[in-house]
Amino acid sequence: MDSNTLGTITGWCDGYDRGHIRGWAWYPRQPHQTVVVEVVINGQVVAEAAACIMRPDLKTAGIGQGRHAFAIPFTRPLDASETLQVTVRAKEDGTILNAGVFTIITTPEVLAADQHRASLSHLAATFGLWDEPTPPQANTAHPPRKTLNFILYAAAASSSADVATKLGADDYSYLFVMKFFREVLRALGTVHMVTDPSRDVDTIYRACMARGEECVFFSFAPPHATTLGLACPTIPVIAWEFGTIPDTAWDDEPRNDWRYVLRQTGRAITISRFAANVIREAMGPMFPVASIPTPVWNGMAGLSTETPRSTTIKPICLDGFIWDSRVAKPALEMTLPPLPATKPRTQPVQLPLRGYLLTLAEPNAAAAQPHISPGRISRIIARLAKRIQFLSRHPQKASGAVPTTSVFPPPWQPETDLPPIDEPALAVFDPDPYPAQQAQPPADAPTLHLDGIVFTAVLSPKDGRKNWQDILSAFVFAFANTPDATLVFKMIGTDPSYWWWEFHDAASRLPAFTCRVVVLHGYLDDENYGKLITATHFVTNASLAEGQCLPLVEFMSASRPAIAPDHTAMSDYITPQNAFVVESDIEYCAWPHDPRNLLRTTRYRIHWPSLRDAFTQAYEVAKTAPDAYAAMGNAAAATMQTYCGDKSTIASLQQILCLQTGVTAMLEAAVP
Amino acid sequence: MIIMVYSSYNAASIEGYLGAPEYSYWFVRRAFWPMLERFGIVVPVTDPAREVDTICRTAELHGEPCVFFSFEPPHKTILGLSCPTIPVFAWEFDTIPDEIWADEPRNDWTRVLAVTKAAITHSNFSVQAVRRSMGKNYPVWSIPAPVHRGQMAHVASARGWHPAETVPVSGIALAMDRVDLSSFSMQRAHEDGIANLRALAAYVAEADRAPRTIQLGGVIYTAIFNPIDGRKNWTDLLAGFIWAFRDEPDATLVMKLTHYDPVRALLPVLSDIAKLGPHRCKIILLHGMLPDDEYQTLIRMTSYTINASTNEGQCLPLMEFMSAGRPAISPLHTAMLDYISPRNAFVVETFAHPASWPHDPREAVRTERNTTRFPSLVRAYRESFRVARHDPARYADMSAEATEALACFCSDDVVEERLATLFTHLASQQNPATAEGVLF
Repeated sequence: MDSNTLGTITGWCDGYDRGHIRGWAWYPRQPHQTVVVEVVINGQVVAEAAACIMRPDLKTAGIGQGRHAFAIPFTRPLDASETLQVTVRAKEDGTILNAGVFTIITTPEVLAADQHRASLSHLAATFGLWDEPTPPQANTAHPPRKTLNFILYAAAASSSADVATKLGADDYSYLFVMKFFREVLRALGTVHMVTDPSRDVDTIYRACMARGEECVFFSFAPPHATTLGLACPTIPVIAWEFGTIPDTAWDDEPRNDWRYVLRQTGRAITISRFAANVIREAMGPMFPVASIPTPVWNGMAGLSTETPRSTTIKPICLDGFIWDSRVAKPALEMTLPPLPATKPRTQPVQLPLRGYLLTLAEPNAAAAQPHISPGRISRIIARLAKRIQFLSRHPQKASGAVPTTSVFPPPWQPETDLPPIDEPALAVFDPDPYPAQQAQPPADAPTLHLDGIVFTAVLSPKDGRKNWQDILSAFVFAFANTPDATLVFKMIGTDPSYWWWEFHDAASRLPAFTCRVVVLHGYLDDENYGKLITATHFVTNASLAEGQCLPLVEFMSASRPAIAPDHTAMSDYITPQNAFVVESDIEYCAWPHDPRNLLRTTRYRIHWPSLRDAFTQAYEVAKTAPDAYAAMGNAAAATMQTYCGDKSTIASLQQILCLQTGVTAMLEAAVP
Repeated sequence: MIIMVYSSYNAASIEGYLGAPEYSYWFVRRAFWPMLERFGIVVPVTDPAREVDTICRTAELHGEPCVFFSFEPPHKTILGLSCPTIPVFAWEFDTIPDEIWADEPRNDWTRVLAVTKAAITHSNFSVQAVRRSMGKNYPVWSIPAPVHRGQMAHVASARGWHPAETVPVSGIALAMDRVDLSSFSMQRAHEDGIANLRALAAYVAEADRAPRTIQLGGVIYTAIFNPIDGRKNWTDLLAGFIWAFRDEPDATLVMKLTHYDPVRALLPVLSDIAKLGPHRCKIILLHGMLPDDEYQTLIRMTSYTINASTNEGQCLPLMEFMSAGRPAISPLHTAMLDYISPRNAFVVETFAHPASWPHDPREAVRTERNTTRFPSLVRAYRESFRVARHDPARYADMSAEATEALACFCSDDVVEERLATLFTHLASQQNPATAEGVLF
C-alpha cells in the first residue's frame, strides 16, 4: 500500500513523558491502517514504533476510534553535554509530525544533579508546557488563532562588583516590572519563564514553531544584558531614565553600545515615553519602539477607596526595624548609634518585600562585597578626616565623639546563613523563579503607628538617583515646628548600612525639628504595605531621573496624590491635578553603568525650594481642604487607570505584537 | 593715625599658599593699603598678639591714635588688645556663625563682633547677615576692595570678538587641543590615576623651564578661581561652556586656576574636560600667578568674565574684569547683588539649597548656598556669544554699564568715603564728645 492510496498522514508529537516520546498519528482517509513512527536523533534513526495505542481523548476529538497513539521508549543515555536534534516522523513517507522537531540540550552539571529529573525538565520545556495533550482540531477549515507563547526573562541584579557598587543602574526593578507584565501577558497567551535565555529560549521557540504556534521572547533587561543571536524574535523591555542611550562600546563588550543591540532585536518596549523618545533619537524616528508602562493599576485600585481620613489608621507591622525621630532624637555631633541587630530571615531568599526588594543574588553578593560603595567611603573618610583633624586639635572632645566603627562594615552580616537558592526547575511548566513571599511577620515584629499628615517615600537608598537627602532636608525645613507632619522612608534593600550612617549624619546636622521622621527597614507583606499606602496622604519623590518609579505608580493608583517632579518617566503621569509638581532642571551626568564615567547624558537637578514649598502646600491642602485633597487623589487614580491599567496595556501589547496578522510574521518583517 | 594691618600671608609667602584657607585676605589687604594710607601711616604687623599693643602704646605716647585692621575671619581675630581692633572679613552666607564649637568661643562670631564693636566686610549682603545677628544698628561697613581704578585703562579695548593672537605665558599653560585627554578620562583604575599624575607632573616640570605661548582668539570667556574651593562650582561653569559650544570653534574658555599645587589644581579640571567628551570649542588652562603684564594681556583679550559660584564675599576677579569693561556671565546673589544686573551681565538663575558654614567641622546645616540652574547657564553662554558676534552695540552698552556699576561699587571715591565714615565713627568712640550721632 503506498501513500497514494493511503492519503496524507496527520499526527502530533506530545513530547517526552516518563521515559517515552509520546504522540499520535493516523491516516485520516484510512483510519484502520496503522502509521509507523520513527525517532531520528542527529540524523540517525534510533527507534520506531506503531501508533496503535488506544487513547480516549483522541476518540473524543474525532481521531478515528482513538487507537492511534504511540509511546516510544527513549533510552539514549544523557551522560554528556550535547545537543540532540530530535525529529519524530512517519516511517513510510517521512512526514514530520506536528511539534515533531525539537532540540534537547544536555549538560553534565544538570545531569550530575539529577539525571532523570533534568532530562525530564528539559524535555518538558522542549515539548511545550501543558499537562494535557492539546486535542487536535478536527475541523481545519477555520483554523483558530494561533496560540501565543511568551517567553519571559528578567535580569536579576548583576552580581558583578562594578554594577553592584555603582549608584543607580540596578537591575532589580526589572524583576518587578516583569511580574506585572506577566499577569497581563497570561491573558494573551501562554507564558514561559526562563532563567537562562541562551539555553532555554530557542528550545521553547522551536517547539512552538513545530506546533505551529507563535512565540516571542520578552527580555526584561537593559540592552547590554540582552541575549543576542537567538532564533526567537526578541523584544527587549527597557527601563531607562537618562537623556541619551549609551552609544559607544566599552570594556570590549559591543552590547555596551545599545544601538548594536537594538539593531539586532529590531524593536523594543520601554516603560516610559521619555525612554522611547531617547531611543528614537539614537535609532531614528522610524525605529519600532513602544512605550508600555508597567501595568500596576489593577492590582492597586482596591486600596483607593480607603482614604487616610475615612479609616482608622491601623498599625503597620514590619519584619525588620523602625527608626523614629520621636524615639531617637538626632543631635549634632552625637555618637552614631550602632546598627540595630537584624536576625537572619527564616523565610529566605526570594523577595523580602513585595515589589521592590533586592534580588536573588543580593544576599550572597552583599556578603561578598563591601557594604559601602567607594564613593560613600571616600565621602565618609573625608568627613572623618576633617573630624579627626579637628579632634587632634581638641583632644578633650575625643571621648566618644569619633564614630570610628561607623566607617567600616558593621558587624551585622546579612543573611549569610540562608540556604542556597533553588535554581527554578523547568519541570514546573510555568515556573516562577521569583515567587512573592507571603510569610506572616514574626510575632515580635515592630509596629508603627502613624498619625497626622503622612508623606511617604519608598526608595532604594543605595541608588543615588533617589535623592533622599533633599526629601529629608526639605521636609525638615518645611515642618521644623509642625509636630503632626510625618515623613516615612520605606527603605528598599536588605542591607541597612547603605543608609544608616549617612542618614544619621544628615539628620543630625539639620536644625532641630519637631516634625516626625520614620525610617522602615525590612519586609512589609502585602497587607502591611497596603496599610502603609492607606495611611499615606502624599507619596513623595525627588529623584534625579526615573525609568518609571513603581512605588509612585502604586501609591497613585491607590488614589494618593504625589509630591514629585515631572521629568523623565514622571512626565507620563505627573500633572498639577494629581501632584504638587516639583521643579527641576536638566543637568549633565554619566550613564550609571559606564565605568569611564563620561558626562555624556542627562538627568535632572531638583529645585530644592520648590520641593520644600510643595511639602508646605500639600500639608495645607490635606489639613484644610479635604475636597481638594480628595479631588487630587481621584485624579491620581484616574490618571493611573488610563496610564497603566491592564486594559490599556493589553491594547498596547496587541498593537505592538500585531495580533491580527500574527506575531511572528510581523516580528520577522520588522527585523531589518 | 597709625593703622596697623595684618593678614596671615604676606607678599613673600603668598605664592606658596594660593588656594590655602584665607589666602585671598592678602589680596584684599594689598588692595586696601593705598586707601588706608590716605588716613594715616600704615604699619604691617606679622605677630599681632605681640606687636599691636606695643606699637599702640608708643604711638599714644606721641599723641597718635591707633587702630588695628585685622584682615582675618572673626574666629581668628586677636581679641583682648587695648588697641581698637577692626576685623576686615569676607563673608558670603546669609547667617554668621553664632554657635560655639571646638571649645573656641571665637567660633561664635557674635561674641567676637560684640568685643570689637565694629567691623568691615565687602558686600551689603554680608552686612545684612551681620546685622541679622548683631542688631540693625551694629556698626559694620560694606567696603569692597578698591580695584576699579586700576582697570580703567582697559575699557577702550573691550570687544566681543578678538582676532587670534599669540600671547606669551611664562607659567603653566595647557591648550586642550594639544593635550591627549584620553589619559585623564579613566577614573576607575587607581594605576591610571597615578599615571596621570606622573604625566602631569612631568609636564608641569617642563613648563617651568621653557617660556611658551598660547593662541587666543574668538569670543573669549575668562574665569579665575581656586578649583579646590567647592563654592566656585567650576564643574557647572565648564560643563555649561562645552554644552553651549560643543560645535563652536570660535568660543574660547580661559580658566586661570589659583592654587599653589599645580597637579592638584589641574587634575580634576583635566579629568572633567575629558569626561565631557569631544568638543570644538577651545579651552585653555593657566596655572599660578601671572606676571602683571601677562595678567593685563589676559584682561585685554577677554570678551566676558564668568562666575558660577554658589556664594561670593565680593569676587575680586569679577570686579576687576567688570571694572575693565568686560560684561559678565554671573548669578545674582550674595555679593553680586551689589553690582551685577541684566544691564551689565547675562544673569544665571540659581536657587537656594541648605548648606553649612565652610569652616564648621560639624557641618551643621545653618545657612544656604545657591545652586545654579544649569539650562540658564547654557542659555547665558549662547546669548552672550550671539551678542559678541552679532550685536556689537549691545556689547558696548553692557561694557559701559559694567564699568559704571563697578565704579559705583568699588571706585576709590566710594571706598574712601566709606572709610572716612568708619574713621569718624572710631574717633567718636575714642572721644565721645564728638559722637554727634555719626554712626555710619
